[in-house]
Amino acid sequence: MMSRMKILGYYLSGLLLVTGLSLATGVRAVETTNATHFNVSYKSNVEPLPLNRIHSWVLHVATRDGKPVEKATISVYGGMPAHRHGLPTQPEVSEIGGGDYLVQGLKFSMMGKWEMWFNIRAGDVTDKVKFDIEF
Amino acid sequence: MRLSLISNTVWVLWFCCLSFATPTAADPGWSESELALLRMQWIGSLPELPPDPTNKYADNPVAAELGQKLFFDKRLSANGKVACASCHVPELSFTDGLARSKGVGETSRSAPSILGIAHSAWFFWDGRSDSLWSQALGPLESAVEHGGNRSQYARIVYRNPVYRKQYEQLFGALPDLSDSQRFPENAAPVEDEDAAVKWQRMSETDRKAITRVYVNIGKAIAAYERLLMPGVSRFDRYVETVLKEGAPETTLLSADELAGLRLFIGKAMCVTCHQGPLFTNNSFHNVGAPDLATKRPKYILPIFYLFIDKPELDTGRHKGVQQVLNSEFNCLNEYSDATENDCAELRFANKKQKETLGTFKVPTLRNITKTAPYMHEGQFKNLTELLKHYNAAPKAHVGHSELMPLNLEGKQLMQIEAFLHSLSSSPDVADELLRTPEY
Ligand code: HEC
Ligand code: HEC
Ligand SMILES: [Cu+2]
Repeated sequence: MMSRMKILGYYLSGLLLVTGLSLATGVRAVETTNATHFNVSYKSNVEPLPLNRIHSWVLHVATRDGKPVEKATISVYGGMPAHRHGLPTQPEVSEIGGGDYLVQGLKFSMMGKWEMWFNIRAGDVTDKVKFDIEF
Repeated sequence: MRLSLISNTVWVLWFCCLSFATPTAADPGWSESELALLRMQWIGSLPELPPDPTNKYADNPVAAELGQKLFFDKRLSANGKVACASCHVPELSFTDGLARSKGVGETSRSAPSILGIAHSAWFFWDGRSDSLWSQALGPLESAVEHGGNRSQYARIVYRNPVYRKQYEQLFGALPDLSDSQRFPENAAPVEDEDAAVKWQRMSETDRKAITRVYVNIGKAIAAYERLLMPGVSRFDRYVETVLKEGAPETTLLSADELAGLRLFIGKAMCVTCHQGPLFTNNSFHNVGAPDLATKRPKYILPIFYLFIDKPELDTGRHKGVQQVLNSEFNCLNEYSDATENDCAELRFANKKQKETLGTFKVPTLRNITKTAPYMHEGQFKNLTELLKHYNAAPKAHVGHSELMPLNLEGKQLMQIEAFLHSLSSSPDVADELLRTPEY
């Protein structure tokens, strides 16, 4: 006869196998970029991405061969498509230099799936990047 | 060895399948992600109270002491009958049991609980204040709440030796108010015409001196409110046991309450907004609570409309965000002790009209059994009615509801209601702080 605790142990490890640790620890961030011209990445000043707290990102924009893109005009929008609402804040983007851009005033106020979109225009080139984030 | 490995794998797969079956009450078998949600809602996860950079006195015990006296003082009103505590009754989790609160007159909204309120960045249902002290200044000069004015309140502090002593100990010398030509008894930028005219006649320096006293009254009251926290509920004791001992055979929550909890954090998705240990994300959402203005009498002869006030729809945050941006008492203004960097919530507030229309701040669900009727205008008399609304998710009268129909059965709604009952607790506050202080 297997003990109750042992059963529980298997039960939990089974669940872990299936769901993966990531779910249990909260946030998952995936970049599914449809950017064709630029490589875009971000770094948050709070890691892991916080739920319900104002924070900022540094967005790095480079060309496909890795050269920083400067003097780009970047607009930001996003929200939770499944809940049909946008961001709870109006973030602002400013250039730092060396291909880095400061995105201030970000906040994810709710559990679930978020999308963050950046519209990037540099010279004649316009590109769009999307980050999927899930809490 | 190999055999046991195989049998282990079989067991693991077997229990994975089991995890999709409905578990029994005694061993609810919470999944890892459910456990993470339980921990998130647990009172033990409440972070340390964030500092309030707009209020230098926020954590000053003398300020809290003065603030408590002011909170319970009915003299701070037009008729000597209204204190903060008249509408925020400690025994009712700091609400008043009314759909629309009554002070000197009738307000247009329901009084929310203020237990745990200091964890929020926004105040009022529409967030038209961005600090606890500036919130307190709203009801004090509202014609339907306390109905008084800042000159009157400054004079109360000036004349009362206990107030005066504590005030000056904290904020420095009061202005000399003995000259009632210079400092009229009633003067402020309020609806009352007489007081408004007298206010205009005062010099700017004198107006600022009075306003400064008024602001400090708010800061003292805020210091008191920062102490008001909810206590440990039956739900919290359950989560604590589960986190410590795994799924226990506990009687802390009944089978129905457990089923309700599972729905709350799962299928019914309540936890998406009522998230965190206070059961609110303190953000603004549209759940399409019916606007009662649409329910007021309809007359067949339009002429009758001339004799009644035209009902105005409550647009919630849509109007609130404009009010806080224009407020003389917001985070960026001269009476705030904050620097610009402390004011991120205000600076980056969402001003998009379409997205804020009909949204209201998510209220705490702790002590929900004591705070009926529910929603910003007391639209629902009880939780049964309210849950029917969530289940059906009707279209909003103002803006767009974010809810989806839940399609739950009557029994499941009953279970969610049962679960909500497990969130009651006594405030985590010394008894002396819950009544009129003696002095
Ligand atoms: C006449 C009844 C009444 C009086 C008196 C009153 N309040 Fe309120 N209070 C309300 C109502 C109604 C609301 C919601 C109003 C709104 O959102 O427009 C409210 C909202 C609040 C909130 C915001 C809660 C939240 O969730 O954002 C706080 C804090 C508060 N009151 C504290 C006070 C203090 C402090 C005083 C005394 C200076 C006071 N109230 C006096 C009825 C009253
Ligand atoms: C989209 C976010 C959201 C979701 C999801 C949500 N709520 Fe709410 N809840 C709110 C908001 C916003 C209010 C206040 C609305 C108003 O006053 O107009 C509220 C109010 C309430 C109130 C009234 C509290 C009071 O003091 O008046 C209760 C009770 C409540 N919700 C329970 C639930 C339950 C149970 C669920 C799941 C079935 C749920 N909520 C899902 C946002 C949400
Ligand atoms: Cu959402």
